[in-house]
Parts: sequence; structure tokens; C-alpha cells
Amino acid sequence: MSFEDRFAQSLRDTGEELTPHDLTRIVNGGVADGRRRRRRRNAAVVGGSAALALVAVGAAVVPSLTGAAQPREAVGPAARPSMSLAASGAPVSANTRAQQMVTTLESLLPKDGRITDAVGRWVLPDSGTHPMTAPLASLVYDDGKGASSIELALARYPKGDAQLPTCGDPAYVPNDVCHVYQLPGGGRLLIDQGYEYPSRGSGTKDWHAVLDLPDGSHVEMDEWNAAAEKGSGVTRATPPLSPEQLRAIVTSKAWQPLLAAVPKPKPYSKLG
Amino acid sequence: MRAADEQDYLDFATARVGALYRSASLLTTGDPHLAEDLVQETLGRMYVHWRHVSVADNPAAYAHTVLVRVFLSHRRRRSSAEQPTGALPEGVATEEDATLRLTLLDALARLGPRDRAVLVLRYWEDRSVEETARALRSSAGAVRTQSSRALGRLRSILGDSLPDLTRS
Repeated sequence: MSFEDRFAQSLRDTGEELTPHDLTRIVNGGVADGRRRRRRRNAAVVGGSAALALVAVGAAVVPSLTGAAQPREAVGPAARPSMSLAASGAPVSANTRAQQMVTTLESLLPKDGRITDAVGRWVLPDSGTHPMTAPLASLVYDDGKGASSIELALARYPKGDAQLPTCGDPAYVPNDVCHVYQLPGGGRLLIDQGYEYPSRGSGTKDWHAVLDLPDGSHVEMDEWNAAAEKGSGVTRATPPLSPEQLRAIVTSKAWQPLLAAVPKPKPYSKLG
Repeated sequence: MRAADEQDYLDFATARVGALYRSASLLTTGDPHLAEDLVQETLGRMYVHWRHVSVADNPAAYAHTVLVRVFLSHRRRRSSAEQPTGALPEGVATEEDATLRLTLLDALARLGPRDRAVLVLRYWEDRSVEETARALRSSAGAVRTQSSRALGRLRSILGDSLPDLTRS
């Protein structure tokens, strides 16, 4: 029997022995992972869009939305339906918007932390027909107790067509602590303290907040207790921002000018 | 996902999860947590693309390809080298089986992730050289070279410790 054959046989014998205790848990974790991916995709990449702008922004950039940004202010639900863009009316470049995504997020984080790897993105609807956009700010925040990846994305859904945020089925995310809050004015806010790999209930934590407003405005934020979403070690016991801090950031009025700059999508029913 | 599609997906995932886990366990040389993470991520990716995947020729093979790619990208993301966990694979077996398993997994752990992926695809999943090349986005020639080099390394690590079933 050749070495190759003996190896193949041994590999089969070994592989057959490797059985997990709980396959259902893994399947449920897979479903939860898939749902989260879908949620992120919906608020994220518009494939092949020519309007994609990816800009790395240093932490030293001066916030340009000072008129609206109220650092650390815990405000009520953001974005009234009839907000309008800056008075000048001059078109603002995608690069500038991408920078504004980052500076706005930075302005809302607690001031005693260090910010690195800040990246902003401003994606506009593809040919005016794609209903989803994905302006995004992504950075690593370290308050001295461990680096943490933080992301915030904006989107505008057709009015009334937004999927209202709901907590995952406990069968799929048994370890999450999740609540949905009805806000004055009809908005809904979800705060979910869960895990990157939902079935395990340990390892990297992914806490996220989703805000949906009646006018279709959508703000979504994730924070991890690791410097990267996956494949990097846990740096601290929990992500740095409390659920209350997440709430304050996603509902901040500072996002209003940026949300207003996202073109309103056509209702799904009128597409194609 | 519509309810019917979701049920379809759940049937698929339930049927395949064991095989995916075993492949993942070999790729991670017996790290049960990492194997579980990889399978979960693989199933998550399948979920997102299910409408397209479900009508593909062979969704099961596709899932294993996704698994191997998730494994390799996970390895790339993890900048540190192999992290020996010391964790033994779970399950009860005879002492002799357990020894064989450790020996083989130990030896596999000394290979690079790509070498391991080639061997798992070729010898555990019984993929052809061409299929392995497609899964790894490589060429048939490169897979042949990598495969024989990895086997050579294993042979020098394992010596005669693998049982020869024809002798027993």
C-alpha cells in the first residue's frame, strides 16, 4: 500500500471521527450569520457603481459639519422628513461626503479615545434606479482599554418600504440581548448585543444599533471588541460603547445633513 | 428569503453541516471552535446567495469550495502563524484511533494552510486535480506540484506511523 493510499485511508478514518456535539447550533449560527450579511449588504455595497468613493481620512481632519454635530449629545430621533441640504446648494463631491461620514462619526465618539484606520465611503444610487445606498464610516477606536472596530452606514429606503428592524429569532441567536424601541414620531430603534459567531456565545462580540425612520432614513452601526470584524483577536471584554451610547450616536442630528444628501430612492413598486 | 426558500436552505444546511464540519476540522487540524466558525461563516455565505446557489449544479460541492476559501482567507487575515490550541478533537474513540488521529492531525498542522487545503480537497473530498484547482483558483499543474510536495513533507514527518491496512 503506497504512502498516498495509507494517507488517504488515515485521513478518511480521522475525518469520520470528527463530529461536533451540536450540529443544529451550527446551522442556526449559519442562518444568523447569513441574515446579518444580508442586512449589511442591503445597507452596503452597490455593486459596480461608478459613484463609489473610497477615501482614507486621517484623524486630524477638522469636522466640517460643526453646525450640526453635537459631540456626545444624546438627542432624540434624528432626521425629520423635510430636512434640506446646506444653504449654498453647491454640489458636494463624493470625496467630501466620504470625509464627512468619518468626521461626523468621530465627532460623536467619546473624546478620550484614539482613532486610527479611519475610512469613509460615499456611494450613490446606481443610475438613479438602485434603491439602496451605502455611505459608510469605518474606524478603529481605542479608549485605552483595547482597540475596537466601529462602523456606521447610512441608507435611504423608499418611504414606507423600509424593513422595520426586528430582533433575530432566539433559535438562531440564542445569546443575543436584543431590544426594539418604538420612538416618538414613528421611528424604530434596535439595539442588539450579540456575537460575531452567534451560536457560540463567546469570542468576538458584535453589538449593533439600527435606526429606521418613517421617511425611509436608515442609520446602522456596529462595534466589536476587536480591532477587526473577523480573524483578529479579542482586545477587550466588551465593545467600548454602551447601548445608550450607541443609541445616542445613531439618533444624533449630526447625521441629518448626510441623510438629506442621499437621494431619495424610488419606491420599489415603481422600479423596472 | 421567502419561507419556502428558507426551508429549502435549512434542509440543505442540515444535510451538509456534518460533512462541512469534518472538512473544517481537518483544515483546522482539530480546532473545534475554529472549525465551527468556518462552517458557520460558510453557511452564512450560502444563505446570502441561496437563490443562485440552490439552482447550481452541485450546491454541496460549492459549499465545500466556499469553506476552503473561507479557511484560506481566515488564515490570511490572521497575521500570526499557526496557533496551537492544544484542544483535542471531540468524540470518543479507541485508544489506537485516537493516537492515529493525533498523529495525522499533528502532521497536517505542520503544513501550510494551502498545502493542507490541497490535501483535504484531493484526499478527503475526493476532488479531481482540476476541481481542486478551480476551488483554489489555481492551475492543475500547480495543484499537482503542491500535492506531491505536501505528501512528501507528510511522509518525512510521519515515517511509518500510518497503518498499512493491507498488512493487517
